[in-house]
Amino acid sequence: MHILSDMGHGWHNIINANGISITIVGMLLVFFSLSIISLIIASMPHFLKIVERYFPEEEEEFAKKGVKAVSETEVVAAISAALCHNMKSSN
Amino acid sequence: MEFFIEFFKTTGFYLMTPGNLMMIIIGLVFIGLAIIKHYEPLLLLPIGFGMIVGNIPSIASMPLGVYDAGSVLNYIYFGVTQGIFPPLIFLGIGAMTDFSTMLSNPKLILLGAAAQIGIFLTLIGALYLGFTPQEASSIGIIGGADGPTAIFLTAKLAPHLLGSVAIAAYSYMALVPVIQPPVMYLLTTKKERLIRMKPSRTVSKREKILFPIIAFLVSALIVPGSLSLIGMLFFGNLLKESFVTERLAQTARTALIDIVTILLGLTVGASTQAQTFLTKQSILIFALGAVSFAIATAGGVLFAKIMNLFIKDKINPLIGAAGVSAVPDSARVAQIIGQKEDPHNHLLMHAMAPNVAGVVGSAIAAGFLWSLLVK
Repeated sequence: MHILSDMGHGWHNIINANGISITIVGMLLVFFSLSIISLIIASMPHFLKIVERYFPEEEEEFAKKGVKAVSETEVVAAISAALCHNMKSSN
Repeated sequence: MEFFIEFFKTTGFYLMTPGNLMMIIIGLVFIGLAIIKHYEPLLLLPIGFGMIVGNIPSIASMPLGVYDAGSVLNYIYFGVTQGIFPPLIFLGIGAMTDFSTMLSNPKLILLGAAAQIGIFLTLIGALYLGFTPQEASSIGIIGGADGPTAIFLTAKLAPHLLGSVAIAAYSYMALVPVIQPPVMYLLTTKKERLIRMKPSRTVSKREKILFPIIAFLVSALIVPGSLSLIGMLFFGNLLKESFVTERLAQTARTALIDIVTILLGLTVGASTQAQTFLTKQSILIFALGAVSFAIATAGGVLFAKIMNLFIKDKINPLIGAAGVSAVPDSARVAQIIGQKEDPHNHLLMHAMAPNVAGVVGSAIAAGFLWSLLVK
């Protein structure tokens, strides 16, 4: 057990162990790393816009071929309309 | 008769100490909390049962416990002491984490950084109480609210504290809904808790694929000590987001993480033998762990308030509390408190951003402390 160890305790121990420096450098490092990641993420859409001009994503390939990209809501609406029509005609 | 008496002396009934009995009762409480209250059952149940296993006394010549060389538990505990299990858990976490909310609102990442203040201020507190820098770092990391990270760093820096730190970390993770709300209410006004945030934008598939690679490179190059944890986290995420390794991602987020959680939970629980666990040191570690958690929560909330002074689209400061990396519990707490004020305010998705950023932040902090203090 190292409580009240050779280094002592209280502020003396904090200063001996560079506690304040570790805290400041540690927090700066965490902020720095995550800020860099944050900046890269923020700039990624702009970068990808340029990339997409030359290498478009698959969905856009479909669009070029004349296949219309549809949303899930549109699909559900179409299925509902078809079902309604079917029910009406069977009645 | 003599034969029977000799045998009786080898039984747990004869060798049981009050300390063992107390630890068995604590183990039963953990199991009760898991089953009745549903507090982190995936962790508390194996740990609770492990506590019972670890406190069944046996004679010295029979290697049974985690600390007895050659015992089955000792072989499994090797994965804990050598820091093998935590990165494997991170692989599974990566394979199940969706970073979309973080990618759609990158400024929220800073909340995950701010919450790491709990780690470092607790480190100072532990040093003040006389712990060595290695021990103080292991105790401080409890504030990161990340069990695997806490185990990883403690195994590297202060293995003799492994049982206490692991139990404290996992207990407080389970107690997130109890510890965080008072701090959140104390530091926010009703008006702030009512803030509605803008819906997140849709994130493209390419962004999701590029993110784990770039984030890994940045983190690992700045803090190489975080390589095993961060590397596995982002590798797992790449398996998920690439859509070409769905089978591997599926295994990582289900079977693999489950197996490792069982082995880790059981052996960490079994490491809490009364003789090594019931000490003044453990009580101090538990007290400091709670303080660490509260400071981390306060750090995230206060930083969100500071950010609001400078930005146009205001952040609900409640999501700052999710900067501690208890995924997804702390995000859920932000959602619950937010909905108590305004039932139509959905904060969960916003809170997931600082939540997953907190996982990265605490792994970076652990990597930094390991690099700095390794002997």
